[in-house]
Amino acid sequence: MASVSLQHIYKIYTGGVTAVSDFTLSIEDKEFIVLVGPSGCGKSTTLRMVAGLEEISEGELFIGDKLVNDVAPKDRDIAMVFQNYALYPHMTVYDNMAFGLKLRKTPKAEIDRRVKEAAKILDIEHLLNRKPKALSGGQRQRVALGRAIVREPKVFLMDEPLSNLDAKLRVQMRTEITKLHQRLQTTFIYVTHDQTEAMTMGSRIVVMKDGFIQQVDTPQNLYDYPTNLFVAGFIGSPQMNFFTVKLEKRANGVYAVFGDNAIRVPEGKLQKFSSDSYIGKEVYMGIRPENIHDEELFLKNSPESIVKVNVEVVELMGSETYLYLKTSGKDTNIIARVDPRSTSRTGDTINVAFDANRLHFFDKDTEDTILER
Amino acid sequence: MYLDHRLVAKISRILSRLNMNIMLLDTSGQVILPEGDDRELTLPEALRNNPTQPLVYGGFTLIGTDGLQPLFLCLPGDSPDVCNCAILASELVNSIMRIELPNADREQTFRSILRDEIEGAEMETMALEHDIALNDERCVVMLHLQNVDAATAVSILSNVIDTEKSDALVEMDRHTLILVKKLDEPGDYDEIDQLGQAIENTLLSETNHQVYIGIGEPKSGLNLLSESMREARRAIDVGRVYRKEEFVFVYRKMLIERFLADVPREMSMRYNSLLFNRKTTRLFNDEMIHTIEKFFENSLNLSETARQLYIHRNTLIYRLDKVQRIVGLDLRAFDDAVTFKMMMLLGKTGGEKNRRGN
Repeated sequence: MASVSLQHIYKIYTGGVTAVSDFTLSIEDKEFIVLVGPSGCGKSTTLRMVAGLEEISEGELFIGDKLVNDVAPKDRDIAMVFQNYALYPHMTVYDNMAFGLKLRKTPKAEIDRRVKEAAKILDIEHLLNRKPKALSGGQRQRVALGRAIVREPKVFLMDEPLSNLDAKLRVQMRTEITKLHQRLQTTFIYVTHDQTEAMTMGSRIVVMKDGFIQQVDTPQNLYDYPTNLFVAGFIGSPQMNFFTVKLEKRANGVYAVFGDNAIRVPEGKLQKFSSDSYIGKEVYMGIRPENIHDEELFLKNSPESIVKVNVEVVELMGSETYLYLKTSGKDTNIIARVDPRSTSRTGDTINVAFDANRLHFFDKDTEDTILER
Repeated sequence: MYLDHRLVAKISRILSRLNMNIMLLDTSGQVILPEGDDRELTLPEALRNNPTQPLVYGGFTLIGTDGLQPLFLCLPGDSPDVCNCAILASELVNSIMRIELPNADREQTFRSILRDEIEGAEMETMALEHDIALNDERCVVMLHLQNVDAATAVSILSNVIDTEKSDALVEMDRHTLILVKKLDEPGDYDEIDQLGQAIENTLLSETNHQVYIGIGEPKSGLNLLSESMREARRAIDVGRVYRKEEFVFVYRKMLIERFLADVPREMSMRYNSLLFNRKTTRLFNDEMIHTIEKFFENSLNLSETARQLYIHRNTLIYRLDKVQRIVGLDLRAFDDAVTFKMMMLLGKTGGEKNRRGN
């Protein structure tokens, strides 16, 4: 077990392409950290630098107290689980899990102990004598995990390990990996482009874009206090609704105005503005789908945050309903996540109320949040 | 007698434990160890007549190993201790040779077959001598090792490949290693790219260096192995041009790329420039190319591509519409997508900087 510290790490390829810029992060011992971001944001490159599979152009990488920039991957005491979980087809599950230890000349009895222990953790004891072709996708992925576990590394590195699995299995393996982390009590660094995976698994999440860290925080904080427009949109599904609004000071308070709509910004929210200079200016406003309500009671209690909308599509999901809404001042649909008992139907013109206490505001130029925590 | 790099390294390692400057010579007197010493020494006739008996000669102690083609050891000094050390060293080398030589000879036979150096009756005789079945179905897996030497790769892979009976690992040169893989069952070849992936994973994580792997067609008959090797090499050559993100290339699965590689360069350029020219430079910027590549990677699935690129589906549609408007190809339609892909791949053939796909 070990902490991992990345200090001002850069990855610059020949030709000057910068894949990762000034990446600074301290990962605590036993932490489950997830690197998430869209394709090409530098998350896999960062993981590969930790693994030693990519050279670090600048900066320092510590595993525990040891500077490991120039340490070969096999000597870093890490284990990596790749996306394609390639197993040797001619070898049994047992041998596939054991060969890494054989390479390191580990005594046979010790290999046997570790393989059986890992198999027990992963619930694949009964598969040890099978060959990979007799395994399902999920079982193969477990074997790949087992191969990493037997090495008893200080740090587990996982590069989109679930992306080759179908949706159902992915959900199942997500839970398995979380349980595994709890059981092994080791540092996990996990890369994914799937924000749901990140939110459900990580104890902390690093959101990346274009090689830069956008925000590092717990899943809940990322969701509640996104630091910029990108994080706000990236985290959460369906994603946050954004509006270009003008903050207008009126007699009874400050209003966010877009099209024919005006929503009163609560006093408590205004106090969190980092500067008064935003009043009178255009900013981006964001609201999550679950904070848009069509219930009578909410509408009655929120007269100053009502928006008139046309219902374009109603998606019944069973436990909830998504309404795709159109209103003035916004070209694209607003998505609202409402109660499945909602009576709104396609073609209706209805009123919805925004939960003004849950509004987010972002600077129009920098796209950074203008709210302080 | 042929001693491969790995065997020499092993002998060198063990002799170094004796803390003496021991010189190893082959049967003809050519220096094998220390490496880099290329002298050929004249050995005393008395030693040739009775190699296993230590001989003191000119302040050195000389001794040979067992066998018809002995190796010779030369130790500085002529004391009884040096003599004992010489005996011990020769016994150590004998032990190594007893274990390694049958494999080395088998490996050498495969090497000669792959290089087309032996054929017909000679090949059959050598195959029989080393217990190599003549008509088994096998294929060649070629490992192109850029920054790893073959000996290191062999030492790693000998833990996962059964080189004693069915398969063979053959060092062709310092950076090329061949796995001759026996295919026991009909479905074995279907799993061959998985084996390639597993080998690539292992070598990458153990050595920190990328390895390129090419896999030739299965062949029944030893005399066809060299053809499988040529296919494996071709797969690597073509794969490195057209599939830059991949490292394992199966010859059979690269039909289009092989075809495109055979198109004359001039013709490739001519067709590529129909799409990628000065007028479309702005359209096909890095972002657009990345978008299109992702779209193809996701089998023309709009939603999944938009999700992975984290752009709105409408943004993706807008970009594809823009391509359609300017070059007339609707990439959402299979035929147009194939045309675009082919034209883009053609750009990789020549490698010109001003063309797309490099």
